[in-house]
Amino acid sequence: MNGRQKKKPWAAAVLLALIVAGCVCCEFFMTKDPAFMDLADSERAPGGEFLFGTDALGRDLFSMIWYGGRISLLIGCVSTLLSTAIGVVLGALCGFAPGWLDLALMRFVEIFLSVPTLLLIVFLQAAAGEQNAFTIAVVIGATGWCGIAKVVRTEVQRLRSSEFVIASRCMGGGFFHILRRHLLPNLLASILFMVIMNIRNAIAAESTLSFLGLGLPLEIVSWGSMLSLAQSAMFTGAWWIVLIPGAFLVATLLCITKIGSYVQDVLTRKERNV
Amino acid sequence: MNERLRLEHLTVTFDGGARGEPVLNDVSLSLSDGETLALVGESGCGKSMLCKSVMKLLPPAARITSGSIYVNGVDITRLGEREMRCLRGRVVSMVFQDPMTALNPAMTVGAQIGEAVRLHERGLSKRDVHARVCELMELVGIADAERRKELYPYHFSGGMRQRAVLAIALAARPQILLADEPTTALDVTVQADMLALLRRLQKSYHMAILFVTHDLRVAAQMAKKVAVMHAGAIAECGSVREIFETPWHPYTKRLLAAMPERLRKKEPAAVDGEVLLELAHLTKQFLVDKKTCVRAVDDVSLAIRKGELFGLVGESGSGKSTLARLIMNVYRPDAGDVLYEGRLVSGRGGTHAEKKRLQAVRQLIFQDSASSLNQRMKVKDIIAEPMRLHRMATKRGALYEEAAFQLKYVGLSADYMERYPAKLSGGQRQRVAIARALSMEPQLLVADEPFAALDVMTQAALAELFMHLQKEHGFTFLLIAHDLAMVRLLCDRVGVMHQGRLVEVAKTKELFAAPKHPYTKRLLDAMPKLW
Amino acid sequence: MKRRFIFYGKKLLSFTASIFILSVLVFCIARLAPGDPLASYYGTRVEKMSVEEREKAMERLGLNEPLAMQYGKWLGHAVQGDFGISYKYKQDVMEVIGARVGNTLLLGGLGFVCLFVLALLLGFFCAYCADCFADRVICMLGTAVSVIPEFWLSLLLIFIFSVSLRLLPSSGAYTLGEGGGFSDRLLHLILPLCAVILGHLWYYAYLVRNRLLEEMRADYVLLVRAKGLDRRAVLLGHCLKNVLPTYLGIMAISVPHVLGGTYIVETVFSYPGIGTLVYESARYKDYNLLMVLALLSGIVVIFSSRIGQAVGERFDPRVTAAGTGRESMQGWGG
Repeated sequence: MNGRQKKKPWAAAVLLALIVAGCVCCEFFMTKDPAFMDLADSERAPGGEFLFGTDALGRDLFSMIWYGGRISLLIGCVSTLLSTAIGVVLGALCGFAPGWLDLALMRFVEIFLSVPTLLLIVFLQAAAGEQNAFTIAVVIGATGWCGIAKVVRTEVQRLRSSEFVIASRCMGGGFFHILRRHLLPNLLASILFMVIMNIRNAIAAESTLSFLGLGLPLEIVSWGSMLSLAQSAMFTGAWWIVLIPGAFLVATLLCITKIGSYVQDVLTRKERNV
Repeated sequence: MNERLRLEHLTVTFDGGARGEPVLNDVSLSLSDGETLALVGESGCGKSMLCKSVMKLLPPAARITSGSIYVNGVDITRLGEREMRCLRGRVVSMVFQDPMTALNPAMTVGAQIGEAVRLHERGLSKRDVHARVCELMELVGIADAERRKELYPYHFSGGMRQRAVLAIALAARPQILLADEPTTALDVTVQADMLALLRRLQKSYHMAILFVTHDLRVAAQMAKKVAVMHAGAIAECGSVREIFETPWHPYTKRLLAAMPERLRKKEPAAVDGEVLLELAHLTKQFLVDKKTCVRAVDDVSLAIRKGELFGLVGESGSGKSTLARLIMNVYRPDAGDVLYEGRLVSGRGGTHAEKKRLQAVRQLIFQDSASSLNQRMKVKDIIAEPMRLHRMATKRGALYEEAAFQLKYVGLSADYMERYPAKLSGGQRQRVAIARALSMEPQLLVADEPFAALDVMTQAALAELFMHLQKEHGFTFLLIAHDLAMVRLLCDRVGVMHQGRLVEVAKTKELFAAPKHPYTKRLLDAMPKLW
Repeated sequence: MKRRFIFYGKKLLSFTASIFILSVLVFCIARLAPGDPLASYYGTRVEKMSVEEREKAMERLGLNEPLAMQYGKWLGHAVQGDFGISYKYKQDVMEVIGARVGNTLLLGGLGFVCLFVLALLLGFFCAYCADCFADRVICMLGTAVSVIPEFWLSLLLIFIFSVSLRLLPSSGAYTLGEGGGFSDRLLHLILPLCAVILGHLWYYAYLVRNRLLEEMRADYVLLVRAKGLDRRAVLLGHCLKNVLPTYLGIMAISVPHVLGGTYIVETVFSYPGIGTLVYESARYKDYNLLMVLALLSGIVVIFSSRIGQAVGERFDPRVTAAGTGRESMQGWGG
């Protein structure tokens, strides 16, 4: 938003790439089995055999970080796919719908939004029953679409009456032609930022839920479920259980944010033709 | 005669990057009490920058690199922000081009004028400020000031807003007024009133006015002295007579040659072909809110013959664009019919194939080429879009070869094929829009203000392009414009629209020689005359 | 007078309609959730019931009837303030909530007010000296802090100020057994309050900063500066004035965010408020309680968003003007 152009977020991109690559290929350099519990080795400080130390159940944090990151990132991506799909479809429906239907749908979204997201997730989570990575992703995805739907709706309404769409109609372009050649390319650009931010929010939501004990159970390793042991660990002085997974989580979120805001900056600049 | 403003070798550059070219290059001029200097140039030549540097309100990236600006003998390039604030409004004031955005939308007009009053005469009581605001508003010709000062800018028309801006500029009785295209965004009749107002105010206030415009005709009306600006430098400066009769600078010569009055006229065609398009009692209403309803097009009947160039003039809000969209079936009329080749096309009936064919033979060119071209499509795809839609058999091989041919046809090289619209100038974009329309080989071409917001020379080039294309293709041409000179140049017949109604239709010569309707007369009177 | 009456009547009607739909939604989700609904009425006794007793109980409570009937009954009870019994606390739901709502209101309300005052000040400061050193440092720090999830931020605060420095208490709303004097409560409030504020501060401050800077680029600012006003006066007198209505609107929309954040912070600090209640009722599948909590939160949010709309309309003359035009006006005229 500044007058000058933002620098390319190289540092953030490289760091994020490293974390993602590490999580994807964790099998190649994990020193221990991340699920292996040994109470004899519980809460060991970092160093030596355990690079990042062990948690209260005696699992190796170093291996868990990479292994668990995979689940966290996966949940982020899957739930974003879902929320984007719902958001685009509903938003486009509102945008094209006649006034009364649009109003009704928007009221529905408003009511849906009126329950704090956390509560909604808790609710759906309770309704979904069994807790695994997939249900968590679905629940987070099913609650995160409102923002995208709103943007798509306003954008569709703006584009629908824009001159280049009218021009295309004058040429004889049908509904699907306009949708494919004019609306979608413009829409994609305007929701790209929100999609990136949705990945971030989904990862944060997963960790929060798992921390609260409402998301993934302890046995399924993710950044969130690792942190669920943090509160008790803190009072025994095992700082590494709090700080190390948290640092990875925050670093990932920060990198995604940096990249997202750069993308937004580039797109708004394009829009303004400077 | 007191010299109020003098620029000496003023050079302004933009910081950073490859844009090392100065926006103002060694500009010198002077302005005295009660004098008006008209500064004429095309968009981007640095006129606005000149005004802003006198106010020292340059954008952060711009810098005065050399030269000096003397206001009442003091070099203001050396002054700090604090001293400049004392000068602004009190000694130098400015009126901006676009009255729609120049006022704070969330404050009443009265409050905005009042702010200027209070700023320069501290310690005024509320009643005094109130009285002074009313006085100022009446001075600039806003009647019923007591009531109107409580209104917000969106209640005001463009002309009224510009008057309000002028009132703000005059609040502290400045000695120098910089008017940056103050009438460009206004209608012809409003422009005429505004120019008269400015002349009257100058006499009574004895101000020095720097009047910036792109229109040589307006410059000739306002000033005795004209400076022509080109690419950041003053090309030529002299009296109006010198500039118009004995210009020596090649740029000035080109500028003069591009004026519609001086272009070679199209020989009028015989208008007795069969009727191509007929409008019968066409009416279109828009709901403004739940109760009020505006008739944008009100009972318009009109017939256009094959091969004819028909001009439609009117001021903003007269319903011209709505009429164009009704003809193109973008809007459905509330009453009345559109007949094309004798067949009703505005109804709900008709087969899909028939509708598609009709869309192909009628093409529309929009006013704002920037928004009528999809920003995310390349030029080649924009031109190829209608051909793709109608699966046309292309004459010249592949789709893109045809597109390249069309592009060349309207005077752009094939290099532009891969570019995005944002990287083109306004004139180039309009050419792309024309190429897109022409690729369908239309029978009827409707152009909705194709010249608006373009420079004089670009306008002239486009006008010649239209004439040439019409001769080659023989399409029927409906030109919608507010510029009477352009319509006079291009069209065989002219219709005048006023508040949704078609008030007069006549052959061009007859209309300009002997207008019948009082509104047409007013319009012609308001038209700035060539010196 | 009559017009105003109709105006408020309409608002009230749409408000109740929204609440009604919300309650239907919440009721359906709760009833469709797995788990024994009888348990929420009879608690652990259910396990000891015979099949016949179960049948009878189901019938008496109307659990065999279609969902719509059940909802009607529930609504009938709810209107009288009877929302059933909390499974975990074996108490009337309203009583359970009543005991804790004050704490959340204190934390959330105080957090909300502090958050928006601070965000406005910080945003204004950053806009005033945009691109200077301080602005850049604040921007960088702010972005970093704003991405930290609330629960981890709370953990960090506890870790630093309670565990390491031993300055502030790490949990609860007051020291147990001391009844809770004013200073004691305040001491316990500091860390949760910080967590709530820090978690959201930069998001809104950055918003204010960017809106102000955008406003500074508007054309009318040039005219205002040509009058002779300085940067501070332009920012204060014009830009801030124009940004405020939007800001108020955003404040209203942000209620669910801040509320959700408060809930999380409460659980981390074991603060006896609605948040911990939500978390507990979710863990123990106490649907009666959860349903009422969701409903309550929803009502607060809908109410505040309506207030926000009304305030926006009151302050910004453009909202009412722009609302009437609609798209059909576009492309009208030359």
